[in-house]
Formats: sequence, C-alpha cells, structure tokens
Amino acid sequence: MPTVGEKRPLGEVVSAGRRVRMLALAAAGGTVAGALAGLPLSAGSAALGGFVLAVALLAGLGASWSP
Amino acid sequence: MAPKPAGGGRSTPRRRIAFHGLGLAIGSLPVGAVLGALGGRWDVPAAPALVAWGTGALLYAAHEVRLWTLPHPQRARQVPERWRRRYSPRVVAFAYGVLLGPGVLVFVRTAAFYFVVLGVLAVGSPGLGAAAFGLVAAGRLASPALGEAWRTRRGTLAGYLDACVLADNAARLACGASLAALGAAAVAFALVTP
Repeated sequence: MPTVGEKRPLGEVVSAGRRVRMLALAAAGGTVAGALAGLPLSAGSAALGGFVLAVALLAGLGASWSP
Repeated sequence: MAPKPAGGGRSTPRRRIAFHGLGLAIGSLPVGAVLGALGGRWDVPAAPALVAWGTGALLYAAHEVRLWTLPHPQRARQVPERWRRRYSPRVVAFAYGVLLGPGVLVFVRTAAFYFVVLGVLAVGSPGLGAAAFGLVAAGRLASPALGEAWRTRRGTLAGYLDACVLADNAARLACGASLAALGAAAVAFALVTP
C-alpha cells in the first residue's frame, strides 16, 4: 500500500483532458437538471432534476476514473 | 481533528467526538443563520444572482481540479496545537469544534465553501443558512467519526490517516464535478425559469 509520502499530485494521476471531460459531463448533466427543474413541466420536475444531477456527478467521476 | 486513542478516565474517543460535534454545531449554526439574515436585508434579484453564482461555480470547478488557479480567500491558520497540551481532551475537542464551525476562522481546503457562503447570502434565509452551515459542519464531523470507526475495527489510526491523504485527489475531483454540475444547473434554471 502506498504511504503518505508517495501521494502524487492530481495532475500526474488524472490527465488534463480527462479532467476537462469530467467537468464538461458534470456541467452538461447539471444544465439538463437545472433546465428540467426550471420548466413548469410537472410537480416531479425538480425531483427529476435532482436525479439527473446525481447521475451527472457519477458520470463525471466515472469519466475521470475509467482506465 | 483525529480522535486521540483512549487514555483512560471518562474521556473516551466517542465522547470527545460528541463534544466536537457540539462545538461544531455551536460554531456553525448561528453563523449560517446570521449570514442568511444579513443576506435577507438586501433585495437580490434571483435570476442575475443565480447566473453569477453558477458562472463563478463553473470557473472554480476548474480551479478545484487544478486546471487553473484562481484567487480565493484562504487563511493559513490552523487550530492551535497548544490547546491540546493546555486543556483536557474534551475541552479541546469542543473548542476545536467551535473554531472550525464558522468555517472562515481557519484553513479551508476547498473554494467550494465560499460558494456556500455566497449562496446563503444571496438566498437571504436564516434557516437555509443554518442548514447549509450545519451540513458543512456535519462533513467536518464525519472525518473524526470515520476515524474512530476505523480505529475500533483495526486498532490503529495510521491506516485511516494514510487513506485520507491518498483520497485527496478523488475528493478534489468530486468537489470539482459537484461545483460544475451545480453551477451549470443554477445558470440553466435561471435562464429557463420565466
């Protein structure tokens, strides 16, 4: 198991391209969630927006950690 | 604050964590409520505030994942080490909680905290302010609580502290992704809402 002294900077662990893709995915999911929550579609739109937000977050994290 | 190993007497790690939580609550909830009340004194238009907040959150999301560096208020001060020698463990745990609770008195790892402050000010609700600061405090309390759970199961804190350090990059990524998602959601909500 790595020790504390072997911790590597974020830039060495995840490339800049992956970090950009992660943020873009999260932002895209957030945009959909915010728009859904703002539209007067139904009483459940806010809940749907929250769900999409959570999915966006997971997608973003997945994008950054994929091999 | 990492819980100290049990040293006998009435001060157990769990009691110290409880005192720490009490201090955090006392230090955080009133500050959040006051900031919310202060924000309520200004009539901030919702749509421009959401767009500004969301745009800032998107910019600082890239800062969180170290794509660039942006300025943000950041105190270098930590909790005073000398308190650990001067006062009893429970008093220290409580006092550290009070000091950490407001969030702005000591070093803060992430710029996201300042978006919580801005959001509380913009919304102008004492209740929401207290809730938001309470959530931040709960996050602070999670660290010693998890550390104690680890120590109980494995008998030592060393592995937990190593894991915390190694999880730093993952925490940064999660924080950046959350800020990006929330920032984009705020902008989209403001633009779509009539």
